[in-house]
Amino acid sequence: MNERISIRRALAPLHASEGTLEEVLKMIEREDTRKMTYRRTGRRTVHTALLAAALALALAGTAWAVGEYTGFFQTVFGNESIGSRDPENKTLTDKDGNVVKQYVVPGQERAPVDPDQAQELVGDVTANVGTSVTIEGVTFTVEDFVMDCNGMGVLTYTMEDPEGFPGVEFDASSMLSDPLAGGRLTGPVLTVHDGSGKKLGWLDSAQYVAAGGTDTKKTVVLYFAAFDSLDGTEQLKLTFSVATDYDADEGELDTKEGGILFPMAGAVDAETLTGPEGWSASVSPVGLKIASPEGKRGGYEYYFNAVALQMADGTEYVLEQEEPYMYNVTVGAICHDGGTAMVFDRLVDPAQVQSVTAVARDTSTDTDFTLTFTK
Amino acid sequence: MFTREQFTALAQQHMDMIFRVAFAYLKSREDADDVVQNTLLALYRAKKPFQSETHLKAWLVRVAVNESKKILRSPWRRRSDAPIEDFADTLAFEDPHDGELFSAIMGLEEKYRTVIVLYYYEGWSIAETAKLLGIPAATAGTRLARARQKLKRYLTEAECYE
Repeated sequence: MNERISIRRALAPLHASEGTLEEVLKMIEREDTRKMTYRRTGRRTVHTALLAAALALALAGTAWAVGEYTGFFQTVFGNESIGSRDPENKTLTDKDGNVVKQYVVPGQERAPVDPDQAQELVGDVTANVGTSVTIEGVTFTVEDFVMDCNGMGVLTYTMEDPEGFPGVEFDASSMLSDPLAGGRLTGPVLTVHDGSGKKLGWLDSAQYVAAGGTDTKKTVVLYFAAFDSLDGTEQLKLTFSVATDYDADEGELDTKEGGILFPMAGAVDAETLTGPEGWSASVSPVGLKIASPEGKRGGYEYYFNAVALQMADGTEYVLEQEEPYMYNVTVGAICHDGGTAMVFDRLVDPAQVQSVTAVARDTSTDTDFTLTFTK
Repeated sequence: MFTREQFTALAQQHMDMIFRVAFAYLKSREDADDVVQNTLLALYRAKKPFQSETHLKAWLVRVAVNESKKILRSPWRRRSDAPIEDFADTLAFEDPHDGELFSAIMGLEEKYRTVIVLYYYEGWSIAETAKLLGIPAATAGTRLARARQKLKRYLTEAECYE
């Protein structure tokens, strides 16, 4: 047997995991769905603008005290700047028309927010950054942010290009920047740094473009979750990059970067709920973290389905459900301590949460079991 | 630009190759799967014509290499704490010796693993391997020779098996 055959035999069992392609196709479907949502929300934007104008007029005639972060809370926790969308059934066929897979692109159900309640729950730890960086003529400004003690949170930033955003398609929840069409936005990265500015790592994040804005200025909402616990002495850094050249043949993008480093302003507390056999759930106004008894020991990883918060008024906030498939979280991350972080798409009052239920899947044995967490 | 069907067919055809290249860099199934996802998404978004099958394969390898390097640079990347032998135990080898050779290849430094995969498994020439990795051809040749030397015992045993 020659060397090439020996090595080929040794490496032959290496295959991409089952489900990888399906996951890619789902991501593509989500992008396409967002494109379609954009067209629908073009009309909704007018509606939202009218509502905003009506609200402004109403407020002008009252003596209500409008909190400093009212606009921020409405944008990140409400259902006007980022709208709901319905789940969609999809069928994937091969080139011969045979059905390869039928699946569902999950919907998302946003909820309204009471700015006064938001002020009460997270107002003290919400902070304004107000720092800008200009890269290749595009000005990025980090505005407001809030986070919890588990390293989950949300921030807003604006981007402004006097020449508009050629090659970039915006919708109510994302932006698609096509370098072949001159799109220059390649997406920011959120990282965590120690007090001296040394980078410690990056955070998982998801971006939603707020409805409205202008042709030259957009507001982006960035939800995030840290993979490691933070003690509040760290700093966050949002690094933006703008493409300067794209080599289509090599698939390489040259970019110019600039970052904004800002200190944490404090973290909102979470309430701990207790589950069976050492399981626990930590609920803050912005996110849920479920911790397994094993932690990271033994390399245990769990995925969660049918996660829901049962509230004192009898309602339920379903984070993920099937039939219809709704995914009402913005970021889901498996942390380095083995816990799973889920960032809400709305504001939650932890005092009103009576219990949390979830179906956990042990990835080492592929078995499911139900967990109930109570105070 | 591909239709969805064309993309699916191309992805099915090339995803294992992308996985092997990424695994050679990262030695982590999870990270390599991430690279496969990102590379396929880049392919879908590329919206560009490819002159030939070889051009497409070379483009995919370049993107996979870049994606793998990006993950390697991340200080908090997911690392598999389990020994490579444990992972090898989960793979279906035709012969036990294939598993030993797999572990030996994965025991090499990353710079040797990648040339082994591209040259021996994917069938690129030394010059092509060098171009794909962005290194001089002489360097690729040297790495290949050293990798072969380090694997000599296992490769000799393979001869004995026959």
